[in-house]
Amino acid sequence: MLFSRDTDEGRAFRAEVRNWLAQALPAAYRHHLQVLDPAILRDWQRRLHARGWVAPAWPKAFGGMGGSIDEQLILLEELARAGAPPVLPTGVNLLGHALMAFGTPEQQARHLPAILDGSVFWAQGYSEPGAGSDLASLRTAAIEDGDHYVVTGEKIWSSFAHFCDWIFALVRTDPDAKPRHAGISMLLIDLRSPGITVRPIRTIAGRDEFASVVFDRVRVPRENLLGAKNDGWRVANHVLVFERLANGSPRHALSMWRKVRDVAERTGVASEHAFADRLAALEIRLLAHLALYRHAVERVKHEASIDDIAPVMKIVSTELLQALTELLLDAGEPHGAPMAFDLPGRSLELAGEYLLARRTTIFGGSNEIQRNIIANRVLGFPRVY
Amino acid sequence: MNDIVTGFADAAADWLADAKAYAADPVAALQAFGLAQAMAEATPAEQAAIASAVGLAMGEALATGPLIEAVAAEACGLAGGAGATLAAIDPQHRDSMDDASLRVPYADLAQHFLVAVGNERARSLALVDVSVLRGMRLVAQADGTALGHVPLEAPVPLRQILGGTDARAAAAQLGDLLLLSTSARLIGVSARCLRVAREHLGTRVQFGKTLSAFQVLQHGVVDAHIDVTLARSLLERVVDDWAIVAQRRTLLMALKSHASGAARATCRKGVQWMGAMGFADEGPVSPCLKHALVLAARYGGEARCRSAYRDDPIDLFA
Ligand SMILES: Cc1cc2nc3c(=O)[nH]c(=O)nc-3n(C[C@H](O)[C@H](O)[C@H](O)COP(=O)(O)OP(=O)(O)OC[C@H]3O[C@@H](n4cnc5c(N)ncnc54)[C@H](O)[C@@H]3O)c2cc1C
Repeated sequence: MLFSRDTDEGRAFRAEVRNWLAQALPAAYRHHLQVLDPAILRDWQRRLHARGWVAPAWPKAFGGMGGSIDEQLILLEELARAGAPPVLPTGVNLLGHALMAFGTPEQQARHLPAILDGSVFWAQGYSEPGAGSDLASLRTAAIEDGDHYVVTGEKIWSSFAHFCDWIFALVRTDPDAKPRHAGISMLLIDLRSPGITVRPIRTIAGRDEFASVVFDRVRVPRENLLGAKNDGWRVANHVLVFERLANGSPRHALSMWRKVRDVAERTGVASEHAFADRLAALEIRLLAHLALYRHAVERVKHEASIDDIAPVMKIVSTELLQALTELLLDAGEPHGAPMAFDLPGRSLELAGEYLLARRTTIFGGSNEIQRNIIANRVLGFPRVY
Repeated sequence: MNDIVTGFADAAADWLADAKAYAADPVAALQAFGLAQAMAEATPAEQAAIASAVGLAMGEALATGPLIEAVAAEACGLAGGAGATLAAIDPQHRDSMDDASLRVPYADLAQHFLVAVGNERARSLALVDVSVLRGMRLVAQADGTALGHVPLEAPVPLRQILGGTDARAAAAQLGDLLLLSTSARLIGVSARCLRVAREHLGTRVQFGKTLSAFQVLQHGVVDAHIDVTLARSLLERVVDDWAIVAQRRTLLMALKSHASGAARATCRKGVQWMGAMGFADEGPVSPCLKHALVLAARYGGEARCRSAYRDDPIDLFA
């Protein structure tokens, strides 16, 4: 594994994954800055599903890989190394676990298989125009009407919503609740329901990655409530420890480091002293991050908490990635800030890599919010947010 | 944290409660702590764990003195030859004693210096009797200790204690242990500074609330906490991978570079967080910064170790 030695079983599994990827992952799918074409995403997910590797952290009983932590991490690393398209995280990594923990047997039977085989893509509807970091202030209303909820409001920045089929949304079911998060519920909503308007939003990296979803008196069957009424906050916060580990993984920074090195060697910038020194400084930080990550993996294996280091890893991995993209620009500087830069066997979107990396310190709980969390929960400072 | 490190760090913290006395007499400390025996019986990886534990505890206690130097010499089987007088080490490799100068930490406490002499092909470890050295200048350091600077203008009588391949291996091992435990000391100093600063920010009231309620200060402390957490993880990794000799030096250079930078930054910020009390010599953070400055410069500072790391052809990310 990253910065650690595979066990014999790990080595065998890694070889198995590599061999499989060599023949199952089409060349045209590899190493794109972003894959947002639903046809490719579905096709790739179908192939992974056929191999049983769509959901490394899901138990076998629900159709997941059910592998050891080592196997799960090896799979992630090898997929990243091969430059495979992603599996949309909203369904497999977020909703899937919440369904397994809080869903009724009917909900599980209906939704889990479709998440796995990619026939239904899910969007996450948490943020609103008026509720970002302070998510508990969300206002999208769900009012009971017979055996339905009537939903009115707007969700925004919903990743992939413009090509998703369903959305899991946090809605306000009690406007007077104190504290505010006690009046929030989780609803599963078919995006083809009457009254829904989805508008894609182009990102700084030039892609339609997320969307606004407006709900105008949308009727949602009561059976689509996930978890208990007014318990949506707990459902939304049910993030598996493995996902927290994966979110703080150095694999993105490591892959960016390889790109920086390849570009700098091609342009000759690698031999410039100032550049080499800055790169060495980031490499040293990356080594330290790999060490912290390995420590976190050990803790997870021993079922010890990583609450204190998960936010540290989120901050370090994303800021390291961004710092490396600064060097990527410097490495490619003789060519300006090109949209396409040719490397042997592949093309790199230099400016695109830099622009896309901006998102990593904003989503998944911004880095400022992570710092607030460390200050409050790890260092014991007063809560100021 | 590696069990041995934790065990020794706790024990060493107790021992070092009386740090001043031990600092002046590392050989007595070696005996009192049972370190000499522990080092003699330990595997190389365990020696690394013990050396880093002692380093962490020394840093946290702001203890000075050549204790880790003595521990390292013990690990290399060299302290016996030095008898009760060994106190200071200059691990820099030099081609001959004629065209170089010695720079030895804690030189004022030593009766003998342990030095590595020779080149890649022929190296020996030798003792220099301080009383025969001419022109040694004691350069006062920021933490109150002294660095001995000896211009070697005339040949110096040496007593060789190891030669040939044994000496090469021992010199390398000695250098590695010193880099490791000095990094650990830096991390210990940083941890102490963070602890003291957190206590201060949590009790000092301005504008009607504790300083710890101001987000700008919180985030500064968090960033220092992150740097120190990373340094500690890297230290653990180096200890855990001690047996992988091929990559050890490269990793140590990375560790020393990071630990030096993190300690200086953390303690410098600590001064700021304390206000004028930080700038006052009697304040609790100023000694942390002074220790950090001295240790960061020892056996290669942040930039020099980064260069050494960079020049090493080993690709740790392969
Ligand atoms: C690429 C991308 C994909 C996303 N996908 C989804 C999705 O699928 N579903 C979804 O619901 N949301 C999604 N989001 C939204 C994301 O969760 C929010 O952007 C995030 O919660 C921050 O909210 P905001 O953008 O409104 O920023 P704001 O909360 O307005 O914050 C603006 C700035 O102020 C800082 N700030 C805010 N509060 C504090 C505080 N208390 N202390 C210090 N600093 C503070 C923030 O860190 C940030 O730098 C996505 C965002 C991005 C960038």
